[in-house]
Amino acid sequence: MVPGYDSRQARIKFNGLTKPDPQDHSMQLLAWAICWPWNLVWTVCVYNPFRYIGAFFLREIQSALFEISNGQFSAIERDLDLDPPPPPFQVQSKPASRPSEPTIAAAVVSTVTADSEQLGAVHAAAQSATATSPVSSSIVVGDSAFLSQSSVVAPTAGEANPPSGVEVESRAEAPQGVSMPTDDDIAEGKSSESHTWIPPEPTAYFPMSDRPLRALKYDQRTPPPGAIAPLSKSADSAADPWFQKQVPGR
Amino acid sequence: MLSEILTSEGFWFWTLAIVQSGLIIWFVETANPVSAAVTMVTLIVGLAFFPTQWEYVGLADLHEMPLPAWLSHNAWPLLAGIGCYLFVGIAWATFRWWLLVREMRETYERHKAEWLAPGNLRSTAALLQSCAERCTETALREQYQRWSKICRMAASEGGNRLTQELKPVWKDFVTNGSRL
Repeated sequence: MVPGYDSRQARIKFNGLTKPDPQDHSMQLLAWAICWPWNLVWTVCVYNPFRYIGAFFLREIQSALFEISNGQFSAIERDLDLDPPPPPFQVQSKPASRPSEPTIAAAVVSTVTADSEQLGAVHAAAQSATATSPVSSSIVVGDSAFLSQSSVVAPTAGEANPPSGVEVESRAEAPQGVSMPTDDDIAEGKSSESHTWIPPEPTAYFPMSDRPLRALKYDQRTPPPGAIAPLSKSADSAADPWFQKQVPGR
Repeated sequence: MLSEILTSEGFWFWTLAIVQSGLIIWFVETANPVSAAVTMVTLIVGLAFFPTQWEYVGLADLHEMPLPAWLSHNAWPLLAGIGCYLFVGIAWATFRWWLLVREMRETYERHKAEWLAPGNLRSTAALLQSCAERCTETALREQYQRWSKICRMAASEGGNRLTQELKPVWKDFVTNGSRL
């Protein structure tokens, strides 16, 4: 029987089951803390907590032994497994959907910390960046200003430079394995298509199974899925120096 | 022999200690810390009536000096002992709370396993069907019939698994057990 459990009110044995609140059991907890030697003796004699501790160690030992068996017999099981390996994963190129929607290659978040007298200049720079790019936004909170700007529109050199005495910390969030272009790289590419490059999607994996996961890379001869229409024009993209520089194997 | 036992100080001391310990355990189990603390204090004060037993509980020095002098002489060890006692008490209360919650969870899991047994699911389905036949409210009757069907299907699939469909029935059983 659980202490504190009122069986007289229960129509079914555990009716009214509620999560125990320590505040509701404060007197009980106080009694346990004050008279712990007596409660320890009573608990050991009646509730026998060693069964939990013993069961815990038993489960841990069983799990460790099972892992040892798995490790030693994995090669044998592979030899005796007559099931054919799973078929290779077919990468289906997605249809060119949502061509009208703007595609954001990566988001560049800038955090500007300034003194109170410098906030005006910072805010003006943020507003000019917002006016330049429709996908840019700026927030000025207290002593900090937050600039958020996508790399779809390249900032000019003048806008990229912060006011003097203002510490600017830029951070680019991009998928792993894809090198993000710097401001200079973006400025080099005069073609507007260089800003519409989409990084490839993460590597596709086989679905979960009892077999080890195997990576399957994209066919390099086909455009990556999700590419928008201008990118699929291979003649233009091949002529783009920045595009060639950023995608190895092209 | 019996008269010697009954007249010995040790017998009455240990009788008192056992009885008061029982009282303390009772008060602790009934969540009455005040009574438990008072009983504990009386047990300690009661030692004054059994000077022959002081050496068994580590108070042999009391034979040589009065209580105030003994207290001032052993002030720091006493304070340290009280602090350690309370610290261990807090740790024990935390562990005991874990034990209580664990016990509740085990009770719940045991009852859930009993309820999910195929035989019990079949009888629950029959009970729900009879409830549906007796029910006059249309919505409630349809609900009972639907639950009865779910329980029958779960029993035919082997039971022992709380599926998403069974969860409303189980919740109703836990919160309003008498209706089932």
